Amino acid sequence: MINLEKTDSIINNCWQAIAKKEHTTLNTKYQPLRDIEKYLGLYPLQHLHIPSENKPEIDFSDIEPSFQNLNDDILYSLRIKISASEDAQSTDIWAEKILRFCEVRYRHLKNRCFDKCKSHEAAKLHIMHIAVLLMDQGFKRDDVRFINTVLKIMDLKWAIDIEHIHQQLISANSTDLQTALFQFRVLLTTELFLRRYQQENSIV
Amino acid sequence: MSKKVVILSPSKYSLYTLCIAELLLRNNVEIKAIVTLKLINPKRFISEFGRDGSRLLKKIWKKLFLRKKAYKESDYETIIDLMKNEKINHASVIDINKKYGVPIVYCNNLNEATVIHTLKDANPDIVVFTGGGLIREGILENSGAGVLNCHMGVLPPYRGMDVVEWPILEKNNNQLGTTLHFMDKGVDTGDILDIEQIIPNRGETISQLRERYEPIMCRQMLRVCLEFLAGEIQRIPQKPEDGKQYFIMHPRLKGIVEQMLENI
Repeated sequence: MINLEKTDSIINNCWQAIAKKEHTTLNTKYQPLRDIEKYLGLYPLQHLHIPSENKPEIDFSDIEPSFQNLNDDILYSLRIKISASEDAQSTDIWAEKILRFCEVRYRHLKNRCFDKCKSHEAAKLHIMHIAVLLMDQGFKRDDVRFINTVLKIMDLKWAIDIEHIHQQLISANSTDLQTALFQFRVLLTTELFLRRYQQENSIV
Repeated sequence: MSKKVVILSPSKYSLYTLCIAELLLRNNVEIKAIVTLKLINPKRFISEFGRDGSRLLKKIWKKLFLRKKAYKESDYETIIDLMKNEKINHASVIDINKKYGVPIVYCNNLNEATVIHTLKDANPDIVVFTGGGLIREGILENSGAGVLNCHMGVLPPYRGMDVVEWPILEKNNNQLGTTLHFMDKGVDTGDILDIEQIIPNRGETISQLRERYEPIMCRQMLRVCLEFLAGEIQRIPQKPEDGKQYFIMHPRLKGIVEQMLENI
């Protein structure tokens, strides 16, 4: 486990690397930094004004909530709805199904993501996108079970290597940049939630 | 006429099984069989390792190798103290077979056909579950009034795993306890018979707290079994929406729980 000081240093370095980037390049397809401002509080990180145009959401009301049916477009739409507190009944069901799948199939997540996504890069992006959704839901519902699952996802070496996020942010191409931004967001939010929880016993 | 019970046990050495079996027999309950999982079962190991990871190895070390030696002298009652006080000297279910003639049935999986046949032959009033994995319909349908389980959390709010730790993390210390309930197809969603509250002590570790649960669970299982068999206790149904399912807690959150226990 990496110690807190080192984690802080990684977060600060990553944020500096992000701040140096052309802001339009940060507005990637699934907007990993969307609504991140609300999570910056604990860290003295400079606010960035990242343009976040509303990309079209997809209608998933007819899709049976399951890991197999989940894709990054649905994840993106779920995040938007959670953020806007819309359609809570449906987002709760999806989030609970995803949580349960990640927990019950934890040891097989790599294979399940690879089977679905067909490439290592897409699988990494997908699992990080899932982690971000679970964090957002945990925050929205003040439900630490979701953070618990994200902490387990962060232990998956194939999905995230905390010490290399900074390097990836600097050198990545656009697909890898999106994954690295998701990884950064997951690292930032889990650390923030854990510290806030230790102090206040609430993640909200 | 004495009431008939079958016990489903996770291993022949389970201290919990030994206590419950002995105490039921002393209270004139007829144990028609103790069904126990075989110790060496690679399939079970792989399946449980998939779920529990490295903590399965610790569990095996404690439950199968150390057994009674895993418990140190303490200022609270452990299951070892209960065994001493009640003069229960069995080392395994084989001793219960020798003393009382209770048949022991070994299986690889509690849901296999031999277990269903055992239950059909025994026609028990209830089945007492002391561990051994998920129970499927074939068992549930042949268990008389049902399969009784003692859950280490308060139902319905705390279903699933690590429910000793979760209420502490969520600052619901008044929601620590054990629940005697009937098993069904869901995860800890069956009818409730009895809830016993447990108060955590300041400075207690998670493992000490868990050890403190064990004798309480034995006594609760015995008491509720006898009350239910005597028709003195009612089933209280649960609604799915009354609780959440919890999963194994990540070590970082467990660290927070340990800190919170220090400061209760």
